[in-house]
Amino acid sequence: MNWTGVVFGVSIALALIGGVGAAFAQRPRASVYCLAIAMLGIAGICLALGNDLLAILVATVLGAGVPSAFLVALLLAPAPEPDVHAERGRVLVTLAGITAGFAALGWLLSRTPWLPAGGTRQNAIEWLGSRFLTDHLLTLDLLAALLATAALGAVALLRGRSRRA
Amino acid sequence: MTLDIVAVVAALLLLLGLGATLLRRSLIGFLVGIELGTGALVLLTTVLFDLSGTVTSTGQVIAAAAIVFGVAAGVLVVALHLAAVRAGRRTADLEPW
Repeated sequence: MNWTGVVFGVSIALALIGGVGAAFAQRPRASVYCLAIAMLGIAGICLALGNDLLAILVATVLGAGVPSAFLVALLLAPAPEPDVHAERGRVLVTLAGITAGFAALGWLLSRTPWLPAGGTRQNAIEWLGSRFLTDHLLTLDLLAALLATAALGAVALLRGRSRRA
Repeated sequence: MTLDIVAVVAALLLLLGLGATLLRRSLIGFLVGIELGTGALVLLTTVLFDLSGTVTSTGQVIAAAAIVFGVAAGVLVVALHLAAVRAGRRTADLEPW
């Protein structure tokens, strides 16, 4: 087995363990740690598939930046513990939904007859950059506007509250 | 075969994220589920466009957009969480903190 295979296998395990922990951990901080582990696993899968830019983005932004912000928020304002609804019916319905959805999606994804890929794979960063600056320029602008709106909304929420205090 | 495995793992992560949004009590917990679903979406779009074999970079464009959406949602919900807790403390005369 080569290094790509090792990275792939370890990353799959990390993503699954982290995902289960993020969904079912009782304590909010534990679920945030598990989210970071799952994101590192997803970044490793992207790396093994040859999507270097996505791997870097997922590891740094979703694996480190966002969980760090959550941890700071939890330090400033702790969430209730345990953070999971205790009603037995709700838990059972959720577990049944996850199982049924996974069975349906897994069956659909594994049974779909994919055509053999034609042409070359366009995974290089140059491809992504050129697509963003040509075909998807509007998408790039909309994403920048979305980020700016989120930042302005956050500032307005926190400033407005403190002024009335 | 590799891509099929990744697609199934992504589907499982997506459903775990949805399950977390249903099970969690706090805003941060809800957002953990949303972020997990975003990560699963990143995997799913790249793999599905790889499998379809046509213009595979479109999958990465959608994945990058999903990452930006996750960051924007994170920023907003963290601000909402802090604002709600501050409002609660102000009501209980515990401000400033």
